[in-house]
Amino acid sequence: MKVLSLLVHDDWGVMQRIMGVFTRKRISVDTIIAGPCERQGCARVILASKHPSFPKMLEHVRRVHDVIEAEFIENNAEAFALLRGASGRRSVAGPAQEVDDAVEKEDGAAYVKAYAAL
Amino acid sequence: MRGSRVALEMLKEQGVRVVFGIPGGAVLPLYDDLYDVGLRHVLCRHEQGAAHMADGFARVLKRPGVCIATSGPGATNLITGVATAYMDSSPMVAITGQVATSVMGNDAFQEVDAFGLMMPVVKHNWRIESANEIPRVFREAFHVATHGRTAPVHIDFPVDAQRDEVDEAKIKQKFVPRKQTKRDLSNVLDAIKFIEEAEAPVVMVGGGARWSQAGTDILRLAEMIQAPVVTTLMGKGAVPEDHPLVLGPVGMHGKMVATYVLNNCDTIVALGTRFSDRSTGKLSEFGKQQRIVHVDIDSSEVGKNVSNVVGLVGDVYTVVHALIAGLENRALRKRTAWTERVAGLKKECACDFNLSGHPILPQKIVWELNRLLPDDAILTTEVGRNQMWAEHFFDVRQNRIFMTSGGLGTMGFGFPAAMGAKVAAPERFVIDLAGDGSFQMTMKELATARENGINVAVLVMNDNALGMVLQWQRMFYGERYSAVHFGPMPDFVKIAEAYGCEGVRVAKDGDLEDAIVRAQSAETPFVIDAMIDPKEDMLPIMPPGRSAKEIILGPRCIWKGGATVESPVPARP
Repeated sequence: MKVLSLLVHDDWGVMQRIMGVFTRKRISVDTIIAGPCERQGCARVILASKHPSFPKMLEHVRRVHDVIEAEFIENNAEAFALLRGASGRRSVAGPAQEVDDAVEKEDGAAYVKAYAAL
Repeated sequence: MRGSRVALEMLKEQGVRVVFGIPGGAVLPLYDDLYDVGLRHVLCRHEQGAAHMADGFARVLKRPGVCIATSGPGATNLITGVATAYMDSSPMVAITGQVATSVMGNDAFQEVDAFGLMMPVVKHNWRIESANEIPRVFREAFHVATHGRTAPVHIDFPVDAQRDEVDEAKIKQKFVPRKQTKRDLSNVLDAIKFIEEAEAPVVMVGGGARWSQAGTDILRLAEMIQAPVVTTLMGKGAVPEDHPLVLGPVGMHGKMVATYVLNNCDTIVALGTRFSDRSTGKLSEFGKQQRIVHVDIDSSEVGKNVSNVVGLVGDVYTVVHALIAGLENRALRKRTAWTERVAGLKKECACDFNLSGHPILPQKIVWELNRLLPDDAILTTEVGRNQMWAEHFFDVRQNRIFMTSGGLGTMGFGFPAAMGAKVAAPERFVIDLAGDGSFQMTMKELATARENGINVAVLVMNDNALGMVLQWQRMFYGERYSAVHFGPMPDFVKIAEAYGCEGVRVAKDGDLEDAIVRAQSAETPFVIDAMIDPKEDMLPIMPPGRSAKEIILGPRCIWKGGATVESPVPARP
């Protein structure tokens, strides 16, 4: 799993532009986190994917006019998961591997998961 | 000042004199103000024509062409032209009207999500949310279109923003670009090492070299390192083709000598080319034997199609000068064996294509054009066999310009692009080498040409069919002809006359000269309908998805396979 961190201008259509890059190249992005960040008028978008071509996409994403910074973040990915099973709802957060394991253990529970890194 | 007026003033500030377009409900304020601002407007008959004209204009002057269309169908019609420009990195500012922001998203009359539709085919686009954004957006649009890799940009311009007043302060506000283009020459020493160590180097020139107008600098580099120069389809004309080191175009329908040398050298210096499949053939077979220095202004192109390259990111002009500076004071090896071999191969490929026949052979038409066109003529092509005959045989010497839709391959491009070129350079002779299929796609622009006194010539190679498709069905689909033969063909001479233009039919090759000479002195747009032999195939051809080793030569090709001259480089296994 590679995690790509983007700092972008928070303008109309910025997600469409970024995802367009991956759609064209037939690369599926597994998780997306997008939200406000410390810079006024900007936002941070964190994408994660297992696709083998994902690591080659850095320059293609940097080409998008609204993207200010783009970089892969190695080795400190965090994850967040929300689970709903027989025992009710709960959330897990922490290092990516731990969350993956926790989700794995809850066999059959409905869940949603996303990766983030800074 | 209201928004529409400010927008037009911004165009003038950027040096725009001419705009191409068609009015409609959502751009009425803009067209109302066109009355007063002193911009020339060329009224087209279809928005696609407007975009191609702006594109042709940009390819001559190397600055953005501007086209305007209304919302909805106007915007969707414009897209083909914008995408054509995008694939060939032509700078363009496309402006489309949009329904008022208050009803946006309600499926109002003539509403379409032009902002979303244009996104994949422009470098960037903007939807103006309020009139006060107009000065910044327009200035930024021109900056983005012309900096870094040139490309089209799009502005979606709602009609209420056109009507609203703009604050004076916003107009005066200084524009600060958001993004600066980056250059990365950190690999320049590796590149110089590769070039120095090469036994048999080749310079491969793409469209980027034309946009950065680096022809003479490339020749200087080539002479310095004694490397032959080959061009891609888009690079054709970047270097004058009468120079002894220039071998001509490579690729699917390129010159055999150029394709052979490119595939049998040991080092490729690729300048402003993206290694399109049409230039390289089967990508997995390309460049295995070679070391490649890849120069491109767009960092995402480096390593995209061909990996294991030494990448230099920057415009061709700057990088070529960096290479020249690096190589200048070094003792460069003499590559006599290589240059002699290339000169020998070039002779082996120099066929005489002054072929007579009845019906006319297309090679003969290009031969006549080579002879009769002035040294500053502009030749545009449509897409298909006409384009490939022009690529293979047309001689871009001196100040001639060759203009074609290389990336997207848009049939119908050539004629409006020729008109745009004529607007950009009214003193030059502009001719569109067309096919009967392509010309029918945009021939309505004859009306625009006549009305605006844009006297371009069109030479239709008329084989009563979609020739390139016909050829592929003959060669690769077992002669099962499906929907390629036209029925009764319209009379192009009468069509020209119906639009108030001159037209002439040529059925014998002896009459070509007279027609081409007449076209150059015509007082109106001029259509030459030349009846060509539909059985004459465009050969040689590198079949799609195959490598350069599998080129089909055809009976007329005199190429002996490059074996007649001894090679200093071991042949490929």
